Amino acid sequence: MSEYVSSASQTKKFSLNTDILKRIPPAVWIDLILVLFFSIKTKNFLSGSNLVNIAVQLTPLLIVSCAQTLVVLMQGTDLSLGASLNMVTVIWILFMEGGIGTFPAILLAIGAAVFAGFLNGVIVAKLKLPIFIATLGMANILNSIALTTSNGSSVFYSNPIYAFISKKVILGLPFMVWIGILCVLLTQLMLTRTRMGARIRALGGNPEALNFAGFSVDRATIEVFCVTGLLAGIAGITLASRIQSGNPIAGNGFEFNSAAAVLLGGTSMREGRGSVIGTVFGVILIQLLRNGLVMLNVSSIYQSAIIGIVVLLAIIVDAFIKKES
Amino acid sequence: MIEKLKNTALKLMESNYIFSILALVIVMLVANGLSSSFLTASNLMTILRQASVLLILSSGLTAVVLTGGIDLSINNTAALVGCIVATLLLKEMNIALVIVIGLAIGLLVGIFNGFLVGVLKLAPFVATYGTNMVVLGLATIIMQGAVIYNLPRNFTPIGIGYLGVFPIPVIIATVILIIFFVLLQFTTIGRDIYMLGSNPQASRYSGGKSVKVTLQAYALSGLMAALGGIVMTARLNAADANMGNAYGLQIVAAVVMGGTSLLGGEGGIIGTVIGAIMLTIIVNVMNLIGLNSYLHTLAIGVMIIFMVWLDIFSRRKREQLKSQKNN
Repeated sequence: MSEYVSSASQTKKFSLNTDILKRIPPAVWIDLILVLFFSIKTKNFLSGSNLVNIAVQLTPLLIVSCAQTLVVLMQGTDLSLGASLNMVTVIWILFMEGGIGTFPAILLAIGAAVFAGFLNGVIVAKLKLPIFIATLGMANILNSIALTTSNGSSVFYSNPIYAFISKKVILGLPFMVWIGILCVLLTQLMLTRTRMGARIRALGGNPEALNFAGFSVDRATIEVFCVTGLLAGIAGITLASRIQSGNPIAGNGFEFNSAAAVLLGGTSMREGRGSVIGTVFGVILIQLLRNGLVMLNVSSIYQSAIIGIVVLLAIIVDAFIKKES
Repeated sequence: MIEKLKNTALKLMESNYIFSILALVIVMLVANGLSSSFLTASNLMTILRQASVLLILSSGLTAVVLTGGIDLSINNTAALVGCIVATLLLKEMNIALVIVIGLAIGLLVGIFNGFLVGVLKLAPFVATYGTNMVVLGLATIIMQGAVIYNLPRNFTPIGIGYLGVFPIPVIIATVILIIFFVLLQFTTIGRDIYMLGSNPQASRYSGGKSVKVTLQAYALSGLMAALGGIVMTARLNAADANMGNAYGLQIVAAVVMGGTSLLGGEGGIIGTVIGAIMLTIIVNVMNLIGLNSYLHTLAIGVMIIFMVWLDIFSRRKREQLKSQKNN
């Protein structure tokens, strides 16, 4: 009993410090530890080429996670993002094969993703379905489109645009990394500096207040899902450029990995609080682990278990830090 | 007379599953129209056999969703248990012992999930997704990328055998569903599960009760994942680490299509039966008429959205009726 009291008074003494600590998302700590660990254990982890490699690898997930952050802020999870990526990679290539030109094909493919997002928004706003279920249904539909149009296997079309997007170095970084950075900055700006961002944050916190303030909750919901679709579309283009093909299953798992990244980044499903910057650290965590394990020559057989354990540890530690208050 | 009919119709509309059952009947009629071999005794038995694993897996999830949680680790827990069971069977271990070990592992995974959600108060979505990666990883490590074929002859009947005219997996699924129905509707465990889902705050006030109920629900889910995994392995007569993939979100789809609310507290095992059977029928009839299997998912996606919309719509109508009556 006395032990309990003393520890309680101790936490009070350090409350000022822990307050600041608590605001830092769990992913940041783990990222630091991972960088230290891998840079000691492997030779080239911190080399410029490996860091650029990591950046290229994580870009599609980074863009998808921006989208997922918006949905999590509305207290939901978008399960259709991975399927949307699948569809975009396939139909972009098929449109180019159809001979409509590279850029019209990009616009059409992204447009399809935006339309899917729009439908998600309509189903959630007008039919009042929970986000989880509406997007679960949409995931099935988009996967079916990806698989049917590609006949279940990769589609190819030779075009220098892939190399330009994934390899062309501009100001020290490949073009697609800049696309990712731009998506992060624009999403963050939109969330913090625009009316639309304020509406999104209000959707998670107190939707009734939004109605009082004269904004339509329905419209705001549909807006968010359109932006989500747009980001998924852009992510799909970068993914297809990296793998230089359309692949109907390349996006599988992105919906869950992005949700994990968002939550590791400190965006909370319960409170409607969080930021895209936090999410970046969550994405980095997942990619650092994958890259580091490969550099350490850890067999791919062990990767899923290790990543799962680290993700669980991160959220458990975070829960303990928050419980201390 | 007309008044009487109207009253009966209104009364029918008040019962919970009437719209879901109607939808199921319509799906069956459409299926019958599409293929003459749909409504035959042998095909209906095939549907039940195909649905049995999904029914077992989604019965456990129903308990979790009723508490307001979600369990995304079910399909890969089933795979992990299947892989362990197959590995032990190859070592010629006693079958009953192997099954007990398999069920115990599922139970442990479930209790672990319950601990994460109930005690540590982690968001169920991430916590069980993390568990999902870990159990998938463990299955991969155990199997080392290999596939185990040709399980012992006295094990496979669990998945492919018959007792009289009834397939054994169908009997197992039926027994499980009856147990869950009784458990959820007529016992204190069930009442607590519903109560936690419909009012998490109130249950939290009653001491450690919410922790206990959460642990129970996830433990049930883990146990059913294990049982489903064992039946799945026996049905396939094989095991590999990725065998859970096929079930992925189908388990969640079966539960929500049956009208169990993700917010908890509303729905039940009958809805899950309707959802799981409907999913299986859709795939079955599309196979019968020889449609490309990539189109299955399209139909499933549309049906998920339609069925949940129907449920929300009918619930609103029921409430309107109730308030009219009170006036």
